[in-house]
Amino acid sequence: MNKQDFPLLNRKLNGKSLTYLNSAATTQKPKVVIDSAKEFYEKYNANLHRGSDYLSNETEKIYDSSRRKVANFLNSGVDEIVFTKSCTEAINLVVRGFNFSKNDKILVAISNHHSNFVPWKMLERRGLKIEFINVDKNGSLLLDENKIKGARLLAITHLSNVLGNVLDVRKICSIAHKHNCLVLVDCAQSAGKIKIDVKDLDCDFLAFSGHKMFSLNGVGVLYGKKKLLENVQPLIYGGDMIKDVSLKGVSFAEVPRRFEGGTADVASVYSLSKAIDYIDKLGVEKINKHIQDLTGYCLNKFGEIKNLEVYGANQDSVISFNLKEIHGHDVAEYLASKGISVRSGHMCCQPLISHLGLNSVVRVSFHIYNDKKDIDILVKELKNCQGFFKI
Amino acid sequence: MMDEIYSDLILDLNKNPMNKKKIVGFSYRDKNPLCGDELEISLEIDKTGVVRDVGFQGEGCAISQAAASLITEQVKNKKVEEVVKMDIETVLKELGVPNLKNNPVRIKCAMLPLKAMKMAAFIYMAKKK
Repeated sequence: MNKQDFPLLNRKLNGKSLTYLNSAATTQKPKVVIDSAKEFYEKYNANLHRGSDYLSNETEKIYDSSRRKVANFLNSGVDEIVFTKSCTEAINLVVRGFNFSKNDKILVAISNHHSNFVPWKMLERRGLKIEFINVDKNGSLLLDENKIKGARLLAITHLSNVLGNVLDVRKICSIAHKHNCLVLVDCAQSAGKIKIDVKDLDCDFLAFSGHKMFSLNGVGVLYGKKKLLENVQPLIYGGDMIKDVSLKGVSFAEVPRRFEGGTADVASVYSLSKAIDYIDKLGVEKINKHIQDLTGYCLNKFGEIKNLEVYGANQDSVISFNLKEIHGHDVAEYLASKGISVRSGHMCCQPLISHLGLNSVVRVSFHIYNDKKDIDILVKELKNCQGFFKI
Repeated sequence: MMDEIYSDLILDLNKNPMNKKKIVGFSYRDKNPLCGDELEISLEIDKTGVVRDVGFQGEGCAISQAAASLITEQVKNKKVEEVVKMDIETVLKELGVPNLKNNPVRIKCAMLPLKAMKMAAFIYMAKKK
């Protein structure tokens, strides 16, 4: 489905067709997104907010309409959307900019990606108390209401990049809010695959990156409830984020512009708006159904392979596994030699991987451009891999 | 492509490792930050500075496991001064994968045990002084 929209997927590797099963790392880009970068630099390019000429006006319109598009995508207010360079930067903005105090308690799910784990862990240096919420072997959050009491914020992941399970964010937010605990959700893996409505979820902060949902690299998004964003200090000081500068002092621009200091990557932001158009045209529900079907098909096919252990039980687009007695890197290397791209290692989730008693895993992940044929190729080569390594 | 990375010797040593055991001695544990693989090498060194026994522990890919087997076998009865001079190119040649030196990702797998072993030898040398 839709493979023809993605030029890179036509590439041959060592004479073999590319089988791309690593969309959880980054998605390939549809032609409309790639073309948008060319279009921006050939037609509109100007430095944002730094001129009143024709090009500057057009660039500003593109930037503003992209923000409206993202707001619409999440069902948020327009001024609740901050453009960052990545999901990691979006999370760091809350971690380092929000008005946390010494001795505040923060709860962090151990299933979080390092980008939603390391920044919080670093707050211990400022005297905050970081406590961890365990998950079971399928990735379900083992939430203890007693632990939530007195916590300022809970940091969770919508769709696990290892176990592939989806958390019930709405329910978690409702429990947390009973105890005045804020919730930050990392939606890096779910954005573009699962419908996200911040009003429905009632989360306080939400972050995702563009490149995992078809946009260029270099753009991420932080959503924050307006009244909370007012309590976040900017991390980047300089041009474009100020209201007034004098020898006496500096006042900041309004939210969200105060968080976007420095020259904006308008082409990437524009590409994100084109990616959203692409997703809207296909329909998130339809994308989700396609991915779910492939996930089920793959899990079923994996049942045919001896000595293959799958981790988790409720996968959505992401499946982690190991072949017994073959290290993940060796499996990934073998598959690469057959033109198949997967990820192996700790998936930037070392706390979860060691919690599961593992050292590394192999991960396959699916998106709209994959089909059952890709999975058949994978399954065939996994069987051959066992032969190669004499297992 | 695969035979530039996996020689028969690597596949054999991966399946049947040598010196994969715990011993008491001068140890160093190192980690490949890229993949998280960890490996510890321990050297038992006699009073004359000669390696009498050696062991390694840890999980890893076929390349790091095979390299660990090969180099631990080679350092037996060698003086520590010789251990710290071992070079990666010779290790790769003996593993049958000389071209791995051009693979920026997987060369780190072969480097992991060599680095850990040299560090264990350096720890002995520093303590002796």
